[in-house]
Parts: sequence; structure tokens; C-alpha cells
Amino acid sequence: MTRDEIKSKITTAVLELFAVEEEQLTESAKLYEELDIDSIDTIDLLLSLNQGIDQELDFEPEHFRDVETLGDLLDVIEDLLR
Amino acid sequence: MTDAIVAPFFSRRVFAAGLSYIAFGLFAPVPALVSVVLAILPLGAQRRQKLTRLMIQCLCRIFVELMQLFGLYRYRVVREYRGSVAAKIIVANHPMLLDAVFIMAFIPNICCIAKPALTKNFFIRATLRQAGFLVAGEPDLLDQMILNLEKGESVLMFPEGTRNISDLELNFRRGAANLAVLSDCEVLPVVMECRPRALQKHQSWYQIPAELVQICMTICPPISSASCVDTNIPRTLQYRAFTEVMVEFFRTRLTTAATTLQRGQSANIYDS
Repeated sequence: MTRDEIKSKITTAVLELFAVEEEQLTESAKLYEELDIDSIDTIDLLLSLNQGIDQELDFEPEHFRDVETLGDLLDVIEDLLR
Repeated sequence: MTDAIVAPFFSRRVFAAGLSYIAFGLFAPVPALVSVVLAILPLGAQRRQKLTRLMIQCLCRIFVELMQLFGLYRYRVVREYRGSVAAKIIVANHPMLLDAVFIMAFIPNICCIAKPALTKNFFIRATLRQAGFLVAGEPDLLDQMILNLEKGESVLMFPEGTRNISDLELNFRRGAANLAVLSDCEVLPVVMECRPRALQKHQSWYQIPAELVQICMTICPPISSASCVDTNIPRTLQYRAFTEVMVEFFRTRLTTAATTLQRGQSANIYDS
């Protein structure tokens, strides 16, 4: 799956799960401060992504310790899918 | 809301506050000592936990009464709900230092979430563990809280995280709503009022209002997330919607209380 495809999946999931506008979803957007997505929300987001991606995401909380922006999240998921 | 006029340093109220802090200091080793005794006695973990919580409740009640006796405040507890508190998420606003003490004094068998800093003290840590209290910041905190609710315990949460600056600026985080949605347990709102505001975050112990502080704790009927929020929408949106419901609930209750006080009806409200 390409980075653009993963980005598209994340965008769809974020728009469905959170009260945010599509214009806010840039790679530099901060998850907590700008998008109001906290750690519990991230778990719901990953569960939703698991359903949208054919390959299962085998993630641990440590993978997301340094995730601050949507771009960081994209990087981690890209790594997990490799 | 503006702060109340502070009493002069050499005044009866500041003396009462000083006495209260001394009393707290004298009481402080008691839970640790009792915990040691309970740890030695041949008791099961559940029984030990129940006794430790009962001891904490008794000490909180003594402290609440003692401070009233010293003339620091007058308090009133209003029980709009008298049913079981088992498996309820107790949610309270947080205007002053004594909120948790009041709630622990009047609601039995509560599981509290302690600040991580408290676990640095060996004796406090032993008491917290024996009481089955949880520690904020633990990675599996949410799972532990759900487990405790399933066992029929009530869990105390202050969604604001820390003492607020003014009554109606209720900056609720979503932790209580997360727990309510995920556990499907009811929330028991406890509305804390303190007028004039005292023992606030930015105040020193001797900054006591010149007039008598009146505290009212109202235990309101439970509310469930399923009855307020559409359960067909994603959980993430349910967390947000239920947080808004709780904020609105507290704001309405506190606005009503403030209006009543402005009309000059406070004297009768707080007579206990």
C-alpha cells in the first residue's frame, strides 16, 4: 500500500470518527492540540483503520509514544505495514 | 467571578485555617499506621481494602467536621439521590482543595485515582495500595477502572483534572465520558459549590475569605450515556457528546445555584 493510499484511509477514518474538517487534515496538524484526538481516540482510530486495511495492524502503545502530528501517525502506520 | 475579600492575616479565620492544617498534619500518619496493623492481621485482600477505605472515610468525615468546628466554613450535603452508588462513576466539578475530602467523607467505598507524586512516599503508597486506589498515568488505568466498576466499586473522577479558576469555566476532559461509554456504567454527578470561593489553586493556606465560606455538596441522580447520546454513532463521537452533556448539566446546576445566591437566599440554603 502506498503512502498516499494510507493517507487516504486515515483521512476517511478521521473524518468519520472525529468532529474535524477535511481542511484541517494536513500532515503537520497536531493530533491533540489541533485535532483534539487523544490517546483513547487513537485506539479507536487504529481499530477503524484495521477494518479499512486488508492487512492487520499489529501495534503496541510504544509505537505511538512519539507521535504528535498526523504525519507522524502516517509514518508509524507505513512502517507497521511494511 | 471576582475573588472574595481576603481576611487579614491576624484574624480568627486564618487561625482556624492554621489549626486545620496542623490537625491534618497530626492525622496524616494515622492511615499509614492503621494500614500496617491491617497488613499484619490475617485478613483477605477484599476485607483489608474495605476496612482501609472505611478508615479513610472516617478520617475524612472527622476532618470535615473539625474544620466546621474551627469556624472555617459551614457545609451542607444535599442527597437528591439516595440509591446505591455501587458501580457508578462519581463525577464532580473541582472548585476547591477539599472536594475529594468531602466526597470521600460522605460516599462509601470509593475507588480514587491518586496523583503519581503521592506514590513516592512509602507510607502513602502502602495505604493507597491497600485501599485499592489507582494511580493516574498508569498505561492500563482505563482497563483497571472498568474492572473495578465490574466488581461493583464506584470510581471517583474530576474531569477537569485540577481545581478550576471559576465556577462556570468547566474544562472537562473526556476521561469520564470514555469510562462511561466503554463500561456502560452510570455517572453519578456530585456538584460542589463553595461561596465565596476559597482554597483555590493559586491561593496560599492563609488567604481565606473575610466572610464565612459556605460549602454545598449535592449528590444528583445518576445519568447514563446511553440515555443521552445516540449509541449508533462512533464511540469517539459518543465520548464528545457525553462530555458536552455533563458540562451542560454542571453548568446549569451551578448557574441556578449562583442565581439563587445573588437573590440573597443563601442564608437558608446552607443551614444544616
